[in-house]
Amino acid sequence: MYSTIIHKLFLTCQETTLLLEVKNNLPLSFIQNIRLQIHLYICKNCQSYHQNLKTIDKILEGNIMNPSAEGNNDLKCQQLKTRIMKNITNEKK
Amino acid sequence: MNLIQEFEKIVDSYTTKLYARAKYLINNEEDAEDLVQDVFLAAYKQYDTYQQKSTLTTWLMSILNNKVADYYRKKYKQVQEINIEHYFNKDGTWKEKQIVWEEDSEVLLDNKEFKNVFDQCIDKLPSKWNMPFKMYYLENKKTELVCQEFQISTTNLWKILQRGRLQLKECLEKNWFRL
Repeated sequence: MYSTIIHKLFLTCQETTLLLEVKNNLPLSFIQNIRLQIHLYICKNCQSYHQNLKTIDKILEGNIMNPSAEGNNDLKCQQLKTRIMKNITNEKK
Repeated sequence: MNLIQEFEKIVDSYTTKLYARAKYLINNEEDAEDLVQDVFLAAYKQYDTYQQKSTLTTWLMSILNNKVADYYRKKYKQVQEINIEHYFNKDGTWKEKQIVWEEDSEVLLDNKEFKNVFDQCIDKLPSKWNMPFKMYYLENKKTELVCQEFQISTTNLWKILQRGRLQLKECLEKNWFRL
C-alpha cells in the first residue's frame, strides 16, 4: 500500500528508467533528484534495474576502450586503400 | 591536380578513421571493409555535390551513417521495436520482477562468449535505435554531437537510450543470464 502511494506520488517505474538515462549523462535538478532517490529507495525492481543499467554502461564503455583485433589494422587499411583506389579508377573508365 | 589524384589523398587520409568507425558500428570486419569501399565510391561519384559548408570528415561520416543504416535495414528487415508497454503495466510499474545480474562488468568484459552474445543483442536493436545508441558511447556521451548527427532532440535521445537499453537488457537476460 505504502509502495503504491509512493509510486503514484513520485515517479512511476517507467519514468524512472527514463530519468536514469538522463542522470547517467548530466546532473539532475534538485527536485528531479529527490523524486528519483525516493523512488529508488522504495522500489526494489528499479534498484535492480539501476544496477544492471550500470553494468551495461560499463560494458559499452569498455567495448570502446579495447577495440578488438587492432593488431594488423595498418596492413588491412593499406590493402583497403589499394582496393578503394582500384574501384575509383575503374569507375572512371 | 585531377580528381583521381585528389581522391588518392582523401582515401589515404580518411580510410583508417572510416574503417574504425564502420567496424565499431557493424561489428563485422569484412562487411565493414565493403562498406568503406562503398562510401568512397559514393563520395567519388557525388563529389561535385559536396559543398564545403561541412568538413570533409563530416561529409564522409554522413555517407557512412547512411550506408550503415541501409546495411541494418537489409540485414534485419524483420526487426521490430518492442513497445514500452511490453515492459510496464498501465500504471507505470514493471511487469516482470527485476533481478540484479550476478556477474560483474569486468568479468563479463573478459569473457569472449559473453561478448558474442552482447554484440548480437546490440545488432538486434532496431536500426533507428542501434546507431544513436552506439554513437552515444563512441562520442563519449556527448549528447549534442549525437543529436546533431541524427537530427534528433535530446529528449528523443533519452528515449532511444531508455528503450534500447530495455531491449538490450531483455536480450541479455534471455540469452546469457537465463533469467
